[in-house]
Amino acid sequence: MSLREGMTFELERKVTEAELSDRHGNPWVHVFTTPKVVEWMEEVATNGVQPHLPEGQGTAGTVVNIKHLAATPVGLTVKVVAHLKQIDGRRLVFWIEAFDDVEKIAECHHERFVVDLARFHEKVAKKRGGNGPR
Amino acid sequence: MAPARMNLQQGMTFEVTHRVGDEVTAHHLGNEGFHVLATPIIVTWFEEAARTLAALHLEPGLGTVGALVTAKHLAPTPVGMTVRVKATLREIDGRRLLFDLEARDDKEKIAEGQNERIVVSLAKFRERLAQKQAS
Repeated sequence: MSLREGMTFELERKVTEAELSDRHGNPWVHVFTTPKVVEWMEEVATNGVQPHLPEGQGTAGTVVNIKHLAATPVGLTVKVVAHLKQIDGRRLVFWIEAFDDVEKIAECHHERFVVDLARFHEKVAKKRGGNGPR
Repeated sequence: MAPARMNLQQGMTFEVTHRVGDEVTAHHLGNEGFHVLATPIIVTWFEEAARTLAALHLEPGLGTVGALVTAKHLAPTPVGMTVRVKATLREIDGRRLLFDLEARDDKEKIAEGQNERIVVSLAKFRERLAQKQAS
């Protein structure tokens, strides 16, 4: 595992109609919705660490504590920056911030666990009472 | 905002139920190989339960926006299971509403957290937004 504390991962993307709250059940609120902010934040963290993991390993999200600070209208570009703050065995701790063209819009404490995919599939299969991954 | 415009009371609960399909897995959101319910979807359902509870007791013209969400994802949920998310209104502090959230699948508790929402006038909210868009 070539992960190091202090690593930073980024993504920049335009907010489209697909990410607005009214498309996610909150009618009349045409702004970048909180769950989508979470999705982009997890995406940055996940994709950032993946190349540093050995084959057969991945990460699963375990903690999300997000403060949504400001509303972002459609058309603005959002930049998400994830800092890998701590590596505690298989536990990865991130501090993630998001900015639109005008201001900081969200900050988040996020934790992920490095898991062995085969073992994870086994555990999930056992829970669903079936066989193997799907 | 006068509290009289809301009939919300501490301790109120609301539940939403969702079946876990392929479209709500971490794999579908880009985390390859993880065919289990994705954390951002739990956040979506947390907000749905809390927002709906609030919406049922607010006057027309008022809505809520999410300000804070915490989620501890405790266990993976395979595709095909049903998840029940329960919101409990824990605190009302002026326009600020705090909800406790809990999610369970067919087998166990899978997530817990909180959602803080702010009651807003939709007209005023749109006005402020238009200002930002124009800046």
